[in-house]
Amino acid sequence: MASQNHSQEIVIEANGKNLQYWRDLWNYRSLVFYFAKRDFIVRYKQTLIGVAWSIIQPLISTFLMAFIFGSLAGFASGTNIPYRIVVYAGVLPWNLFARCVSMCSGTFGSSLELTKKTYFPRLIVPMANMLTALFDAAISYVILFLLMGVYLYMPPTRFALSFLFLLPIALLGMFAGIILSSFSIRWRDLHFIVPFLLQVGQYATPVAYSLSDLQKSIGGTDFFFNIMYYINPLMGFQSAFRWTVLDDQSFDLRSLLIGFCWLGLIVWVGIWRFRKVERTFVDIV
Amino acid sequence: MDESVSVQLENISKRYRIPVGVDAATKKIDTLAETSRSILGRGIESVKKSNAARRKKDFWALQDINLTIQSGQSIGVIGKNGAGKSTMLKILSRITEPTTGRVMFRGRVAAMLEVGTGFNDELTGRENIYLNGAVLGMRKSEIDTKIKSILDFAELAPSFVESPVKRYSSGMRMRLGFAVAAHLNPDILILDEVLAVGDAKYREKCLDHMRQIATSGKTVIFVSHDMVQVRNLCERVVCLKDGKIIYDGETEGGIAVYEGEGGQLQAERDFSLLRRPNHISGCVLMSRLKLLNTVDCVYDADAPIVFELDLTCKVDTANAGLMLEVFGPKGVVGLSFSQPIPQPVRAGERYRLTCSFADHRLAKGLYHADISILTGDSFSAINTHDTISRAFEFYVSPRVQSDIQEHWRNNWGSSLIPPVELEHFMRL
Repeated sequence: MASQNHSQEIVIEANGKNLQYWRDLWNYRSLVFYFAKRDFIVRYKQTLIGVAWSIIQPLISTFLMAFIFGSLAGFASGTNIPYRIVVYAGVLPWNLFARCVSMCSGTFGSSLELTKKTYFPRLIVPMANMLTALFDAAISYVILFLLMGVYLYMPPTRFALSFLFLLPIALLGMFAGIILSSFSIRWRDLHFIVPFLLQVGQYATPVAYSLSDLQKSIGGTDFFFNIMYYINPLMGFQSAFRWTVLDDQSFDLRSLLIGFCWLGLIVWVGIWRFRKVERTFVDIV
Repeated sequence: MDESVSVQLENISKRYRIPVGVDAATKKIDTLAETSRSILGRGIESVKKSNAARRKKDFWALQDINLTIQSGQSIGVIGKNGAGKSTMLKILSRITEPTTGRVMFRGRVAAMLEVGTGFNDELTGRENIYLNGAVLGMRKSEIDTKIKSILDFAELAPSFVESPVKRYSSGMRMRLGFAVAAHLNPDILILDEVLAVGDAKYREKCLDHMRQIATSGKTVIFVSHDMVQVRNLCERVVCLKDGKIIYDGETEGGIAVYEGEGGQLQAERDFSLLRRPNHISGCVLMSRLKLLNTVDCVYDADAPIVFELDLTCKVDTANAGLMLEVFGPKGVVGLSFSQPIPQPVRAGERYRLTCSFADHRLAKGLYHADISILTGDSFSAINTHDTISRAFEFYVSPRVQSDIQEHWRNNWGSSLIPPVELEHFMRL
């Protein structure tokens, strides 16, 4: 539709071919930016303290977790890096993931009015959500720099690679959200459970501590314990991100590869579920 | 596909599944809580049971629609509520997929189902123009060049351009929405009844704009209930009923079909249970009528009207005759004739007669016919055996060739009584 080509043909078919869909997605790419921009502007127009809020909120949770895990649980003694930076290096990617999940899990509900009145590839909506979450992550980077400045912490040179791990984390969150969203059409109360799932996930994933800390304190050879962490889809990217920020971490290739396997699986299932639901949900709701 | 074809629908059908059963009325929304409660509380069996209660019935909103629209044509889609218009609109605008068949578009398509789709209250007028434009498929560069024209068209006070849309009056909002849509510049435009926006003056402006689009070589598909607008914009009309096309052709004919629908604009009617006036003798009764050479009760000006009438004889009757009166749009008699039935009819028998009037010379318009079965002629006492008013209705399309009739006023009919032929009479 967005194409200027006058002789183009558009074919609508029962159980239409996927090729046309991806072509449309490309044609509508600018809509991703407009939706993301809208969400961004609206969010900061409505709140009194605006952008400050997206700085204050992660800072508070970082300081709280640093206190609980660093001082009370005593993980802080295991490292000579300021523990608030250790925690923040976990909070940043986790917040990106959590925001993607919670925004994308409402995809079919939030865009309903629009999708009943106009056509665009619906995948645009979660993509725009993901982009908004990436904007937020960019703001979080500013805080990370500030923290590093305040605590006079010099990150290792591999810190430049940290950006690379944000995209897989965002994609993981987006498609996990999409899968949840596709089920929430049948079960409307699913979206009440999403915040709870995220909260559990925050503790099941090494956010406020690193896996090596935990292994040290429990005794790292526990087979069951290892399994628990390696089946966590986010684990690989999360610890890779920490590795780029914190110079005392070692690179865990195994967990990263597992992470990519999970990513592939979740993206595949996500696209399949999304396309399946997208075809019919306008008729159902 | 032929180069001149702009839109082609092939065997388009759409099925909806409607829940039936005990729970259908009350249980609209499933929740995880309900499902788990029933699993925990009553075991898997009850879930199976509730799945059975969720049985669905098929409902075909559209059935096997075939339609070819030439490039530059403006076509109106009309029909009563539930005829399938909205479903067709949704399929054409790609909001929902057809269950079977395919649609092919040649060129840029834009669908306008609502004015200001996706407007956000918090964003300013300008920001919303960009957002709405992108939703409708415009590129940023395209909007950049058109934004001044859009703002002019919307007739917004300059101070409002940079203020959030929530501060707009509803009229301003609609004007802005229409202004964006008016600048889409597609090859194929699909329109819902969205033209009624703003005050009378602005509405006129919008209609003018639509007319301009319709006459500028663009293909327009217009779905509406408003026959005035359809007359204004469309050169061709498709009338839908129960998911099927019952008329496809010239505008006035389609409107007549639409307006006559629900009345007697049916090609076949059963009279056996119809209430009759008290004064009839009932010796010979009409039981069924069928218009033979039409499906939608629409005739070309030159086409003969042929019908088949079934009679049931109760009492032996000789010298019976058939009288047919055709009335024009305002009750003016169009034509009238009577025709003797060639042989006496016997009690208990059923007969079928086939009549035609060829050169009827009726002007275009909607007509209805009364039929009576009589004995006697104008010189003796008339005995009416059976009479049915509005036994059938039909629509005559205007002549295609330029003909003197074209210049006649709409409601003028011909006063020439055509030769009527009883083609066939037989005992059933």
